[in-house]
Amino acid sequence: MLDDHLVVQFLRDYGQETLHTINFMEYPWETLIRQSRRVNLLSRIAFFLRELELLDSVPEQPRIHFINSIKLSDANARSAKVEVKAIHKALSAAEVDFVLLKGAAYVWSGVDAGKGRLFTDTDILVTKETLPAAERALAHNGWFTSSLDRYTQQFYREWMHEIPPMTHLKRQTTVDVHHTIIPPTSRLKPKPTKLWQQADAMQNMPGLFVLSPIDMIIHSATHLFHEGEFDQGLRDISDLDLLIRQGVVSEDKWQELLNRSEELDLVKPVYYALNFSYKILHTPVPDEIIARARKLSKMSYVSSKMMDMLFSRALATKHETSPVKGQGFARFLLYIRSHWLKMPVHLLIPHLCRKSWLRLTGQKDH
Amino acid sequence: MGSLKSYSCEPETVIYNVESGDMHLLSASNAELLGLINQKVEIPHLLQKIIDTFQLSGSEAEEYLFNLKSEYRKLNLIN
Amino acid sequence: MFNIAVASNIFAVARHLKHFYADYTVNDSGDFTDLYVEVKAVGGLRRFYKPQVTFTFDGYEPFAPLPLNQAPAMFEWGLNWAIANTAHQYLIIHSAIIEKDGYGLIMPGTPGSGKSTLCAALINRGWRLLSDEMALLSLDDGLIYPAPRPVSLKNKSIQIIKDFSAEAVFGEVVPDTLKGDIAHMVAPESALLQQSTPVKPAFLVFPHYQDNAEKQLKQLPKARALMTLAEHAFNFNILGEEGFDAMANMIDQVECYDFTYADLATALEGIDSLVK
Repeated sequence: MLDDHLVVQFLRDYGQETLHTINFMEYPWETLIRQSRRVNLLSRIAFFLRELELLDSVPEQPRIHFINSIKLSDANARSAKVEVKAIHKALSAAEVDFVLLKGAAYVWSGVDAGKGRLFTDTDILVTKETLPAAERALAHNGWFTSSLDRYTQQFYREWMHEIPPMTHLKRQTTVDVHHTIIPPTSRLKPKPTKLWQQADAMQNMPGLFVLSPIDMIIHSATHLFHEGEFDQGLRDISDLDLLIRQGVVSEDKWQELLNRSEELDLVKPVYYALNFSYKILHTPVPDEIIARARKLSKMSYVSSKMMDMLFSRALATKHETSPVKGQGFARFLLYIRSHWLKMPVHLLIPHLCRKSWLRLTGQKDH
Repeated sequence: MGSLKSYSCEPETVIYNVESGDMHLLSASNAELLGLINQKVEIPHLLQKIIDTFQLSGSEAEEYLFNLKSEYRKLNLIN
Repeated sequence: MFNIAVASNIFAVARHLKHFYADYTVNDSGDFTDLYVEVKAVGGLRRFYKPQVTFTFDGYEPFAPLPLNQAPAMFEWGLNWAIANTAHQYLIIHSAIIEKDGYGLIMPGTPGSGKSTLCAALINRGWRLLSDEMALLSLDDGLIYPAPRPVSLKNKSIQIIKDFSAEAVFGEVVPDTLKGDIAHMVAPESALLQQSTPVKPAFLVFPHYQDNAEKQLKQLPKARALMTLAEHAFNFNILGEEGFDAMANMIDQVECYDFTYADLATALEGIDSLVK
């Protein structure tokens, strides 16, 4: 089912270094462009083609689309650099250290997962103690908490123990300030301090960090398999694939990854990440490591098979050129599950009801 | 700060900050001074240029340069 | 030129396409399509109560749904959006672009400027339409490329142009959109016949409609014109340095004007005088 999606095949070919063998004249470029645009991978695919000096072999009309999508990701990277510098200026004046996360971190640190990466918000991690100072420093420098309704603000602050995203008045860009990598109301309790211990400091920017390569994998895995947003599922799997290939540089690094996931109490999402990255994009994860991860996650065979099925459907690209049976329902179940993972039950039902109500009455931001 | 590009048509110059995408409209003389400051031209030379261009005294020129630099710093046009 | 694929389950859209796009080339199924768009009526119970239409670009909905009777207008807006968000081989300027005797005239569209009315009048008096909404400035050769489409007019302009030009062919008026009453005018034949002919930009004119004002063409300092025009370029930030270079080069080549006028007839004289 997933095997015949063009985007998936393309990414596999890239990973196996067989991309240059495709038939450039006969290839269904149009379908590839449409599918990859839908999952926010068009810029990445274009980046790969350019990287391998294959763009000139692509017929002119599709080639223009690829070139244009690279302009988008280049613009995104430029804007990200401006953002990170501005955030750094504001926070270092207040002596608040921060770790860059996700897209912004990939682009800033130059890892492969930054290739053709598009993202809107800048996500950062500070300590719980410095969170108020961070919010003040940002507010002082032009960021403001958007006018969310009272319920949503309360939801963020009191129940989720987070502050709402802050938007810069002039640049209209958003920074999301976290103090844990999964919502503090979740069942799992990874200790953020451990992440700080292994974080890499960025040269010339004292107080600015990114996660270690292993922790980047774990965080990306947690974000995808915990948060429930599968619309960009394939893009996130592609990120994981690139992070894993680049981050696990030797045999012993696999065990280090498993040990670290255990230490952070995040084995389950890492198991899913290894399993699906291997299944979907053929990331070279040894069978034995996947087996070890599953064992460590303590999932039964039955529940792992069920999650397998749900995730496979949910992660497929949703597009008319690649319909997947049962996808809508699978995504719905996983959406409920991710909320279940994030919030205690007594908070869950009222919140979900409110979200549905906002959506059905056409009020956009929820 | 990154690099700056310019487009000049007397008596004004547009300065474009490649990194941020910001654009600024400056008088051609001030734009020229911006270029000189970024090339790290020595202060006495800068001051002389200001004196000649705007017909100011030595101390007025110093004040002019000081204000200009702080304005440019705010706009992220100089380091 | 763009290859577009449209899917719709709304009769009014099919009628709009037949009326306005009958003379456009129909591609073969094997041809490459640049943009897939859908204009669909919202299904389910919604069909019976204040029915709505949605616009989708490859599965993505950039706008909130609109009342169903605005479907043809939504198609046009949506298509503009799709082009402005993908065609980065051009610096895309929000303006009308017309041509006479090989001279390209760009008229940026600030609200209340009367740009659309002026444009519609000029193309019925010897000027060729390249676009009434978007000037596509090629980053490769500095020429502006045509993408002629139905000309959209609002409110009073609709009757003004109907009165001005008896031959002008209009679609139906859609009342009460967010922009007022809207109608589309078929672009004169020359637009489609010459849609493969780009034009060298020669004039940049910012129109200002002002009741009882004296007609006036005032030269605009180029540095200022550059600053102002950048605000009218949809993808200026996406293109970065390339966009700045293209725009600066163009400004250097063209004559820049602020144009104040109070009525159509003298406005046309003023514009025509540029190419005499």
